[in-house]
Amino acid sequence: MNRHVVDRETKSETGHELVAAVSGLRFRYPGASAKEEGHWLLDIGSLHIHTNSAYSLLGENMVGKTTLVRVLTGTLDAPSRGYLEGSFCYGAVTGRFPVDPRIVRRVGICAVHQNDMMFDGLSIWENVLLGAPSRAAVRFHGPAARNSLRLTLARLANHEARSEASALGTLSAGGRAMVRTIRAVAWGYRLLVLDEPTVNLDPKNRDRWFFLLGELWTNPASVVLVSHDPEDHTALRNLALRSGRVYKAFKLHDGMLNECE
Amino acid sequence: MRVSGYAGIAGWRLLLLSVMVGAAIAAATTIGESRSAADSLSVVVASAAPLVLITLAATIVLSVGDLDLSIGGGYTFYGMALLALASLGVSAPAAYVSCFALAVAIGIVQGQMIVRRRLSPLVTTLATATILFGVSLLIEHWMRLRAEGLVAVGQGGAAAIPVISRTLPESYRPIILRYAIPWALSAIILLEYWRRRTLWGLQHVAVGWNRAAAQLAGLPSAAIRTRAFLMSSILSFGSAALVISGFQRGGWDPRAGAGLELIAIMCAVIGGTRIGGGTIEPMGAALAILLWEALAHLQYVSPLVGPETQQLVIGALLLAVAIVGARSTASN
Repeated sequence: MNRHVVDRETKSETGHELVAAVSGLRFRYPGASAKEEGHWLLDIGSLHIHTNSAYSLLGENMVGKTTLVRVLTGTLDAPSRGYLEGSFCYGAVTGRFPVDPRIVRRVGICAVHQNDMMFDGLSIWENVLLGAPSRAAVRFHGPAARNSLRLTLARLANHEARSEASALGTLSAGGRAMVRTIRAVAWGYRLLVLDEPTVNLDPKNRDRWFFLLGELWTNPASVVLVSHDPEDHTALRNLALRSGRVYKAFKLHDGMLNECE
Repeated sequence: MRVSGYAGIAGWRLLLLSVMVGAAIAAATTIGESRSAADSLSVVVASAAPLVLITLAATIVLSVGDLDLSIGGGYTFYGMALLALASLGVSAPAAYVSCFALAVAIGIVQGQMIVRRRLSPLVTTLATATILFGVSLLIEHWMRLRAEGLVAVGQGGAAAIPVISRTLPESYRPIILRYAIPWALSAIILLEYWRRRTLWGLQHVAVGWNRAAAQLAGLPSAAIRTRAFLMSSILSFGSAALVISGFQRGGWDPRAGAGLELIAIMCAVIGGTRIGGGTIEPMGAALAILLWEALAHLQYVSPLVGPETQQLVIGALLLAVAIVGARSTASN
């Protein structure tokens, strides 16, 4: 079989619908030496992500987890695109990498990236609004998103901003992580890719973060959690199994993605 | 959809600008030759109205973190093109539509060159301005320009709402453009609504605030930046169209817009728009250009006030804005 043809089997063995499928994904940064030419940073034969599921993506630092997220969501910077090949099937859209980030958003896939890229001068609520894929989503999910934001702000430490109209820059790292998560989870996306979302959080805020995720995570959305910290994956596993979702863990090693226990 | 006002909005700035405009108007009536404050206000508002569009053009581009130095060149060229078409016997509506299409094309091409080709906005828009000034001079050199048709459109017609001009003293009426005020007011209201109440407006300032974050968030940064240059070009056309069909009564200087872009950028910044992008203050920009015109009026009606007053006051305000901006950045 041609390795670049995506297997569009739309249902998983558990009956869940396919959200995203990737086939023959290979990536190498530009400027690789002749010795490294046969070595791919990412070499993923196939990957299938279904609804109502939780996926852990483990791996040591520097193995390419963030690069994988950037490739999947079309946000890899142009100068560092390197050598990229492979096919994707996101919802009803199929194509070859690199994928246009607008398509990713349109088909209902949202990523929370590792670096804390937000809009400090805009209000907290405006930052959340910027996660919305469309005006229709704002109309439909807006009231619930605002409510979640208010509840979350009320739970923050006393010295933190309590008003959604406050500038985002007034929040601590913990507060910002919560807002970043609400921005992604509140708008009814079908797949959330969370790249090291708890990296700057102390244990108390990490627990709060998973509590918030559990509150906002509605079916049929799926979550892909990328983290180097095993505790994050244990927490996600517990969250998924408690809510009756399918849980799978993958480890990225030597460019390959292998399912693990 | 209700989008809250963005953080750090400087209400005090609007108040200060309003007070300064009021003071300049009051000075025009007490030490100048204006018969009443209403007269002065009418003249200032009417003469500032076309410039409001120019200032909004600069504001829109600044708010996405870019710079448009072609505003003055565009203003000159669109005016000259309107005159040229009218002189060739093209009807006024057809001339307006043709020049509007030209403004759209220039805005899109300029935006695409800067966004897709990654050219420097400063150099690209400066080059565009220079070319447009050159083409305007060529038109003036090669054509015999007459524009009675365009003047007729400006002086009356279905869309004119002469709310302010009725209150003007007779001596000012010939130079007052009745179209300009409702158009300028509409543009301010539309932009305020667009920014405060729509997702598009929010995405626009988000791109200006942090372009990398906007890209990661999946916002269409390239389209938003191109749209900013498009809107700027259309507003420059609008301003030229308003002026040429009223104020100028058929004449047009091929250097009419020289330096306008710098006045527009100054007023946009004084009005509260960050030079690096991320905020947009249409009302503040309009008040700043109103102050600019109020100072010009004061100089016109009073022998005690020289041309240096306008430059000194606006320059000092700009410096104050830079100092306040630097302090707030440092405190963040």
